[in-house]
Amino acid sequence: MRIVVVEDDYHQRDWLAGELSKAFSADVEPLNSFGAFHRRFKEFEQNPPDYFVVDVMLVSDQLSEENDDSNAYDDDEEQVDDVEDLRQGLIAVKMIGDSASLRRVPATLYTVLTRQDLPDGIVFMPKQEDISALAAEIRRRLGISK
Amino acid sequence: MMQPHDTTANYIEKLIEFAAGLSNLADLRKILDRAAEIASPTDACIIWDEVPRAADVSLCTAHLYALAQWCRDDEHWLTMEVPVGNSLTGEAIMGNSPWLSTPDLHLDGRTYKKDPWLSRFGPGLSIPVRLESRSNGEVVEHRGAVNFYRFKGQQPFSPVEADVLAHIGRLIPHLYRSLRDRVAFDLLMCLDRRLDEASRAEPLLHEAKLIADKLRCEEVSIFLGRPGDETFHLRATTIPDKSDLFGKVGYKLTDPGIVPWLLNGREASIRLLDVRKLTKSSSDFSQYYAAHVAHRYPHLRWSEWKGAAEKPISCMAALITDGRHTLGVIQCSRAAAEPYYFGGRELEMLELAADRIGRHEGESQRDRDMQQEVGSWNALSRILVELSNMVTQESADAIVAESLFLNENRESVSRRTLEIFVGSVPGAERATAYWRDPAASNSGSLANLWLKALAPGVKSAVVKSSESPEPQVDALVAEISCGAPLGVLVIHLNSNADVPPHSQTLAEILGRQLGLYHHLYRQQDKLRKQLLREVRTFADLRHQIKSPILMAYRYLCAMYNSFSDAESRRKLGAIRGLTSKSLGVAGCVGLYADLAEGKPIAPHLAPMSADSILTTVVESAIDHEMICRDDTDILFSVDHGSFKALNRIYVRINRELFMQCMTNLLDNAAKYSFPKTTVRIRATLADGFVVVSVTNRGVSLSLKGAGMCWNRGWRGQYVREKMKSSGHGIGLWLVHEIMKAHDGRAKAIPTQDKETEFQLYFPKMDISRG
Repeated sequence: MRIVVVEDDYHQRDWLAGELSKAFSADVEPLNSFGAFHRRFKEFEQNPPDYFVVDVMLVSDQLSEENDDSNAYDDDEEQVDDVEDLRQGLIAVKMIGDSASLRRVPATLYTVLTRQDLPDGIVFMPKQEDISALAAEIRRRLGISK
Repeated sequence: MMQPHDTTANYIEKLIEFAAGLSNLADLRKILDRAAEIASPTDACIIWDEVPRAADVSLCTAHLYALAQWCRDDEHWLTMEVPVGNSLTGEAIMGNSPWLSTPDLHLDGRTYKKDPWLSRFGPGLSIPVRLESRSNGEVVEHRGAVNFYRFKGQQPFSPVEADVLAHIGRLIPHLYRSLRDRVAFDLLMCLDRRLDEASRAEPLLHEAKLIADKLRCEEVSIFLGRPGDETFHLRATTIPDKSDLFGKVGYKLTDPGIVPWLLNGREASIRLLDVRKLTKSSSDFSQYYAAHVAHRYPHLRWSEWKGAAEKPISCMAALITDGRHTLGVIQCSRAAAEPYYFGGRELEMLELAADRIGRHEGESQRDRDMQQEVGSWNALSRILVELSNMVTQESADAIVAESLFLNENRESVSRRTLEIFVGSVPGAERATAYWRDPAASNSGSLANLWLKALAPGVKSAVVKSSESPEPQVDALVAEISCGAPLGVLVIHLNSNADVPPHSQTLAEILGRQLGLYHHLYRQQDKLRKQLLREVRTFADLRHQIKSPILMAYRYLCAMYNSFSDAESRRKLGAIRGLTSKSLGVAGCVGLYADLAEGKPIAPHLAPMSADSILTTVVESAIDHEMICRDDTDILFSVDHGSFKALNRIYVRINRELFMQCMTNLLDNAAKYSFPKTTVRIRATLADGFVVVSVTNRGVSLSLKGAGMCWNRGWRGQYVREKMKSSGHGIGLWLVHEIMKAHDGRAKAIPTQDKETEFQLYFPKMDISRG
């Protein structure tokens, strides 16, 4: 069984990967940013995993000195009032649902955000102190008995 | 005497040629003169016309008047009406013969002998003719006659002479019509040119003089008003002394007279041949004449002329309209020359002139109304623009509060908003807003008194001083409302000012604007209070979160060193780091809540040595390294030597807030540094300040960003658009506020060679002063 975990926080990613691996004896592939998910997407389409677990608040990419182009950006004074949408996990899940080869792969949004923080109709699972609820959800959607 | 070689055709041709050169209605006399020459000796020639509406009465009371006359001895004579019933002329009109003659008028039983002027004449010849005039655009035919007379003792008119004169006589009305058409055309051309280029300094006076000249009358007076008016005032007259006017300087619709009679829609025009006979002091003809006039013009109540005169006082008047509305009346009186009557043609000209004046005046009134309307809307636009500028350029809260500040009488005393109103409403001197007190019963208050000046359901009104609660004040009063009525706006007017149209609408809109501002202010106040409640909730939560986390952190610090198992130490270190981060976030929440409530940061400062600062810095560095160790492998290196070099230097510092600053700076460094780099922390001394600096290698901070990064909510464009990392730009803002509270400052050095430095400046303590 192969599970992909997209989570930018190291500690959460590390913990989740360990727990899922133990619970399902699965190969867990952790990805640390939306950019990493995006780069792997074509491969996922060709070789779909069994499950996706995706955080909602994701950085675009981890910093890297080799790829840094931050000095090309100019700062202006209008930014104070802008409110950017950082919920890139929603985009990732939509990409999965829109893909012909991946739409049947179950995906769970796993987040500390509440219902009020998310658009109407979004199905998600709140992060808890253990993965029992997440594990039960995975079993249910994959039709696996405990 | 007729010349034997001249034929009738020759006479006609010569007469036509002569008439073609005439240009004045009164030149009809010259045509009669020339006609009389044909059958010389002929000593007088008169053209008779039916008195207006004679056809409406029984034949026996039909009358004729002399339209024009020529007499050889040029003796001044008076015209009069002669009855159709018992005169040679009347018989000629009613008969079938082309002419009727008599050898001696004095002896002829058909002659109307009451006129002494006729007693000079002997032979007479009367030729019936058809005359034509236009009234209200319709052609009206009426009967008339051309009479030729010879003095007593002359030969009677022979049949040959009579035949020729009959042709001539029937031609005369046609020549007169041509003359009339030329005069009418000339009059209209002159009027049109005059009205187009009219100087508005003396509106319509020149037009009145032009008409007087063409119609040969002494008085032309023009009365005008606005549609719906009840009084029409004299706007122009050719009579220099107004006491000599044929009537008054203004008429109400209920007054007696020709002008009100027309204005009340009885007819479009009226012509009275001789009004002398209508006066009470007139001769025994007055009752008879008045009865005829009364029959012709029902409901006409007479009052104009009270004076005496030898010559006939003829009078005519026509309505001035713009095609839709009655605008006034143009009146002519006292024909300036013989025959001293106004004929049908003169009335025709007057109607044409009235039509021209009406169209022009209607257009001018519409232009004036449009200008006033545009002026009103421009005023409104100006007011709204100025109010909008005021609100957007200054603090909305201050503006609205100041504008609606109420004194003990519940009046708005601030002038800024109200002065804008006064400047834009024409005729306004000052403005005051009175507000209802919903909690008190104040039926006697000035606000309520002004509100009573508005009828129920009326939103605005012009109140005159006789009805005003304040003595001798003319005012525009408008309700202040936003849904429900809140008060009243009173704009005091200059008593001499005309209130332009739409001023009331303007005042109503202003009243609603004030009501809207009042409503917005109340809503803003509610939101402010709501925000305050939420901020206090955050402050309380900060207190609830901070204590347990602080305790957890203390226990973790103590436990960290007691574990020898590497994995356990690793996890415990991570927990310690995360707990320290939570403590930092709780600190931020609390400070944010305090600042949002308007409470400045007022720390208790205590002397702290460089060594103590170092201890705090090292703690923070360790915590952050523990968070980053397994992820990005960023190291946090403290230059111990730089701190120790500041031996015996003290600063006044609040340790908790300094810890918060370090937490925020190192959080940023961890977030924005490249992996596997080292964040360096060191201390220096510069210009009387102890400077603690944090340098990292990572995301660039521009020159602009180095200035703006201390603003609340600011985040760099790269971080927002490319990285999309979480955060709301309050960490560095709080650092800035904390440093202000320490009488120090925070500074950012823009990135050079991928390295960015943040500096905290603490004033060095003067130890000699303790």
